[in-house]
Amino acid sequence: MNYSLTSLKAKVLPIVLASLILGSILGMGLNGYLNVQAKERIVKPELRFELLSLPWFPQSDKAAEIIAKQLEKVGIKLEIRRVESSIMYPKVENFEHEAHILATSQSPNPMGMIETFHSSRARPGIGSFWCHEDPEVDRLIESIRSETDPRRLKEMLYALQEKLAKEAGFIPIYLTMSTQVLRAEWKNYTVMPGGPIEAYNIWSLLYMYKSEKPEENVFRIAFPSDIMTTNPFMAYDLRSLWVINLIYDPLLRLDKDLQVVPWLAESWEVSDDGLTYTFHLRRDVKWHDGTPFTADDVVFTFGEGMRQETTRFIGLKDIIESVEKVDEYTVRFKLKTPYPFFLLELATGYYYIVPKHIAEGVDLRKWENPEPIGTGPFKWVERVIGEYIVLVRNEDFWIKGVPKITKVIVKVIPEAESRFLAIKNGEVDTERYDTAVTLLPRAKEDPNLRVITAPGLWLIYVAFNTYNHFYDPKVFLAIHYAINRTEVVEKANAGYGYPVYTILNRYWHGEYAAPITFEYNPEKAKQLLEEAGWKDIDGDGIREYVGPTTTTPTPTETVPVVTSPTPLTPGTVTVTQITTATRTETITIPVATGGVPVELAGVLAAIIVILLIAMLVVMRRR
Amino acid sequence: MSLGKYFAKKLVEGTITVFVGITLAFFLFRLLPGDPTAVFLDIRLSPEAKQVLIREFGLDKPLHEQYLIFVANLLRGNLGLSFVYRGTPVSKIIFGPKLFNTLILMGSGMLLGALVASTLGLLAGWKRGSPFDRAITSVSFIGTSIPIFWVGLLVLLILGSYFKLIPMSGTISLEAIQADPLTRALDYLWHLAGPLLVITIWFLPTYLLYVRNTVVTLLGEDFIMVLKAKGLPDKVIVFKHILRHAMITIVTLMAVQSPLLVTGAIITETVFGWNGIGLLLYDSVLKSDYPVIQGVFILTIIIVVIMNLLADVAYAILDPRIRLTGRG
Repeated sequence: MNYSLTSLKAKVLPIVLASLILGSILGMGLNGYLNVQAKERIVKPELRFELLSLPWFPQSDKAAEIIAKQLEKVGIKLEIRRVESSIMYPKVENFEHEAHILATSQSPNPMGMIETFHSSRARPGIGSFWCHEDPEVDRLIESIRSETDPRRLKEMLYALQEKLAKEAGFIPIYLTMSTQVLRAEWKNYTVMPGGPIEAYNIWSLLYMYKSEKPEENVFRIAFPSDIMTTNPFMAYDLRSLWVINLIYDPLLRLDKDLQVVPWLAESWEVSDDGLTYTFHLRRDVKWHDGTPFTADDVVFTFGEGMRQETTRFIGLKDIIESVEKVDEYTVRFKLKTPYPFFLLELATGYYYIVPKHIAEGVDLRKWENPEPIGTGPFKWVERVIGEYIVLVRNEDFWIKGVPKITKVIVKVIPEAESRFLAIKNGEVDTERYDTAVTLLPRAKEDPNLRVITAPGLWLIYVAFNTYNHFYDPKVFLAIHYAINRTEVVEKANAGYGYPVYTILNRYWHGEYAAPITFEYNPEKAKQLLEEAGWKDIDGDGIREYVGPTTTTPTPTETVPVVTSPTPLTPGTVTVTQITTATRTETITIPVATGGVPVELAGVLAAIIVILLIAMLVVMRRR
Repeated sequence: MSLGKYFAKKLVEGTITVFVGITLAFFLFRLLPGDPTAVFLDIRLSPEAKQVLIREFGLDKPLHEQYLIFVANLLRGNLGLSFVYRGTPVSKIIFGPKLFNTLILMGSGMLLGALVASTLGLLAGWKRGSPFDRAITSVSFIGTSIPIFWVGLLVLLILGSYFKLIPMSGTISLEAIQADPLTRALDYLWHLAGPLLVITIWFLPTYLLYVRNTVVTLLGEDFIMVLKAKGLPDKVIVFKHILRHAMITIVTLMAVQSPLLVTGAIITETVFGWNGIGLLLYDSVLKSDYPVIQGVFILTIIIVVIMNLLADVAYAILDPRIRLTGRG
């Protein structure tokens, strides 16, 4: 063994460096396991939460800071931790976090939102971002699902919203305002919740024009990234659905007042028991390749979509028993149980009818569908992946005289500022998704641009991990009162938003939304926290758990939390007392997730790798 | 060792390297945190739909089983389907306009860099110590040190935003989509200008310093002395004799860097929205699109190994001592 020190250095140094890098990567991967195996510690039981937030979504990320400040005033500490979606989502889904702030997209069908509170969703790893476990809530949800009487349906919806508003660890904050920047020369667009060009809104693209000369009506739209698929069975991103919506038609659509209107289905009948829906189809519809559209296509789409368990149709398996052809232009749907939102679901669930003669015998989940053939107002021309998509007007569209737009060009421009500049320069007409509020003042100055506002797509919320971290309804109720939603909207999104207090809101769900509001009242929040046994005993400004106090009476329990601008049906939502959930007795002391932090795990793994390699080197030398 | 035997040995080594590389490509990315079903903030998937996707991606199976399926498919030439571009085969995504765009950008950048570098490097080396040489050398050192994304943003800001000479992003303008081939080609070249400038700036300093140093070394060689003694003018010495030697340096360097032709320049392509392999790799890492990342890596590994194999064989032919000792 006689090698010089320099040669040793030259050989060992790269290895050490390489293993450091490799070790860090390994460590990050291992961290998930280490966290699970680490013994949980019980820490000082105080109202301190780590709040996960997405840095690139300013509507929620900026709101996080303002909410944290507001809650600090009543003795609740939110420590904001910014992480990328690829790290955040798995943590949230697996309930390995304390709390998070994020946005959830809104749909006119209230059922999507409601079902997330059923206890069957309270399982890690299945895709739930929040959960609630209460048999009474479960019963309410199940009754709502099959209630056919509109009055009773509304009553139950109100009762459910009130119960969840007071007991769930899901705190709605505000609904974003859609801010679409469109070139001013475009006329005759239709504004719906979500804005003038949201994926389910076909009206703007049908009737919009900027010139009497058809060849000038080319609509150019910038996308932040390419569409994922042209397969209507598997599409779940709003970019793909926007394009698919122009090529394919659903059975029903919503008009601008969110009422169901006929589309491929001309008319329909519902049986008295609410179990059978018979749809009469239009007879003048042709596929883009000239083949006539018939009942076979509808039966094929729903039948195979559900049988092959495609992402878009799998949810219908719980609702639909069977789909059958009555004659060439009549289709009958049999439901498993009555479902009050069935027509609404068909109109909003992006169930596009696909040609049987093309998709038959295809594995629909793997269907590439490179040249889509639909019945819709636009025909597919070409696409360069990652760059652009071209569609042209379907001259044989079954509504005569539309669309007025002759060509649609989708161009991918990844950067927000570049997209805005492209609109400003007239290179494109608008962009998919809202223009950032920071760019709006510049858009408003420009006479060539128009800023169109409407209720937006995103509900910004804070959700606590009630699955295994923290559950105390009184604290959640206190948080409702401690948040000044108007201030959040003003400061986080320049006033572009609407405060929301319950899981449904009137902008998207109309009369289904319960008229519940929580006025900003920090004093009341403090009082509620005191009653629930949360007091700041060590003077650090954060409340600790000392147990419920029995000395003070609780007069506040009769203070109404439901403020009803309109009189409600007697005996339904007139609950004025703050009811505590069944789980208050088993209140859990906040526990830190503990475990080895990412950085430490990486260093540990690196050291192990270095030691192993060093051993190998030494052994080889001998 | 005969040349044939030597080649066979290198081929076996190369195959093993490719296999190890493929295995690493498979496991490394799956160990990173990330979830391919967590696709941005869009319509969130219902639990049932999410399970459909996980099964579809084969992510419900244990890791070793996923690996075996992956290798089995690979041997049949099937790189799998992309997670992000649902239903689209990875090979179709890679071997299409994206690969073409990257080849054009990197190829022209490399050639342009080499041309400019050999001219300037030759002059700088010839006039060693002159103000010109000192200026060129220091600019080159600065050039090798400044980060390329900064150069890219600067080019975009000055040429794109201030003077509006080059487009801000992409490879084609909206007007040129579906236009006649000539318009499309011209539009393409116009879009190429920005990223090409940056890529040239990226290749240039390294090439230049290599050429300059080669020239400086050569100038001290005996054969130059002989040529001088023969009374040949400086111009002939430099452009006929030294240039040829310097070209060898450049060509060797270009051969070493040839995998870049395929993998592209991640940063430059991202800054300019150039729809190439580099941008694809960046997007795919962000979205945990494992099959595409693997595809690009496998392509890179194979090219690197082939280039090395060719180099080894070329050396062995040129220098028999290498294959005699078996050390390559």
